[in-house]
Amino acid sequence: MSKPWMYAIGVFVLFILLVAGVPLFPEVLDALVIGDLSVGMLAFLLLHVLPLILAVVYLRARSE
Amino acid sequence: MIAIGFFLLVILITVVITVMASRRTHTADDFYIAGGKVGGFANGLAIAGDFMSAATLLGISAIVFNAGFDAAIYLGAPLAAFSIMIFLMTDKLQHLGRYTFTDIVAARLKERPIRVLVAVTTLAFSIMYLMVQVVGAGALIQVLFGIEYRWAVLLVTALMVLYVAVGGMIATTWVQITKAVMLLIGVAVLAILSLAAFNFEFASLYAAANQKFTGGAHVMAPGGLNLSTLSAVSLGLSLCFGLAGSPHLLMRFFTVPSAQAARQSAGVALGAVAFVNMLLFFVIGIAAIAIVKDNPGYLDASGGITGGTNMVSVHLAHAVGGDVFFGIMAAIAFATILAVVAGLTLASVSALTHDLYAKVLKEGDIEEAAQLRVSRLATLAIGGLVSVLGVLFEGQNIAYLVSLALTIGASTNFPLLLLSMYWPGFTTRGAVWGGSVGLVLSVVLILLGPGVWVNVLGFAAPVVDEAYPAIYSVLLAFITMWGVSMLDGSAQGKIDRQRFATTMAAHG
Repeated sequence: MSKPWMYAIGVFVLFILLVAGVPLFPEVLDALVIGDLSVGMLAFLLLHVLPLILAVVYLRARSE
Repeated sequence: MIAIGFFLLVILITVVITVMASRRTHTADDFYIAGGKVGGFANGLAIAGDFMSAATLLGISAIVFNAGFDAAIYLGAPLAAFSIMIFLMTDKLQHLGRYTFTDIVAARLKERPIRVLVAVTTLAFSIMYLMVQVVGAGALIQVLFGIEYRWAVLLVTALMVLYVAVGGMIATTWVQITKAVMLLIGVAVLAILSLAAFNFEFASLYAAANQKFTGGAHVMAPGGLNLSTLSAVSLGLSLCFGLAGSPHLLMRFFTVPSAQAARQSAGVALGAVAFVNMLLFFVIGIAAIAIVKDNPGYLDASGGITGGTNMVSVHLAHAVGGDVFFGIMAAIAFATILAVVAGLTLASVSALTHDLYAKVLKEGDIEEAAQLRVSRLATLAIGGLVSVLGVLFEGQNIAYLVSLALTIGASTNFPLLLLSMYWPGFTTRGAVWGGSVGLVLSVVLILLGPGVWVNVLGFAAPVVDEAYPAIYSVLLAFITMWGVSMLDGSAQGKIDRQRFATTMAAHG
């Protein structure tokens, strides 16, 4: 599988895990991991930071 | 009075932009794609502006306010959609498209049936999405000025027709950029002022919100929307695939001069949307619960939020920033809606006049002046239709209505585009059958579901219980496209398969 597909599918899977986790495993999403930050909040943060990092990596690779 | 002043200022700025743009709109290229000369960074802001519609500022704040953590489903979808666009679509869009994303599908498959199909799916999606924005604008103006809802809807559609008919894509792009910058600054200031009300202590903010929150155990506890697994996944699919297949977003990749600029645009847009999303989710929505909920200053006679919960972010602006900041945020919300309706109208007009009228009915034999004239008339007709729908859907939750509109895009445009770009076995027959199944099924399920059948048409119970039908329509659209293409032994099918190598694979 090529890198663009891996990046797109990786972010999509993270999103679907967060979405399905709301009804399927709410206790897991509600569990605290760092201070007052829960697994769900961390997943939300990751979903917003990961695509940015991957986009920068991809855009740099394409412009070289 | 201050709010009215800011409103009029926003309208004045956007009208000036439109008049200036009209002097630079001479050709069809100018009208549809701003001559293909918009810079990557500016276009990125315009794309972010298109993403951040009334649903973002007004609707999402309302969902955090009512359901807490579950708003993450709505906020996470644009990031997943952007990733699909950046990593899988931008290069091919830029290399193969001219005015609309239909150009890409038509380059690979038989042009005539594809243009008719995609024009219909684009129109169905854009008009539904437009109607949602108009519902938001009507409610906003009603709250601020106290004028009747239907007059507010008429005002918004009149402005929308003016921007698009007179200024085309150049005006639409610059209105969108202006709005995106205003929104980024406005949301950041609102978040800072909200945090300042709690001495910049997140713990105090969350403690105050948790005391008032009634949608669950606490604001960050999942389950506030009370969705089943099927509904949650269905909602997620409609938002993600619907945004990735949105014609008004896809056509922005044709307004830049190169594939590199298109990728840069997508990166800038991604950063801007992520920034706004995080502030809405972690600060603004939570502060609205802590400050606006149960505050007598923002309750109507029945004890509900004045103007409905879609208005909580503008009420919060008043609570933390007074009349001046309230006026600014209300004007930003209004500019947000105006800019998005302009982009959507342009997408509808392009589908109607470029794809259907010029390419199918006139078979490309049309002068540019005539095409521009027809485009302007189509803008007027779409404005009229949207006004009527906006009045019919008064009072519905904006973010929920957006999810219904995106269901149409997710079930039609997205599978058509993705399979055209990446599956060598995709044929015209598969596209027409699958696209038609996706369109009919998504529209019928939306009409018979609780969102329209009960809330708008007033029946006691829905014919279809599922409020988020995308999981059925998206899956069936993909399966039909795949199955019919696999069984297609026609001569056209062979041509379609051979054409993949010369069109899509060449831009890989």
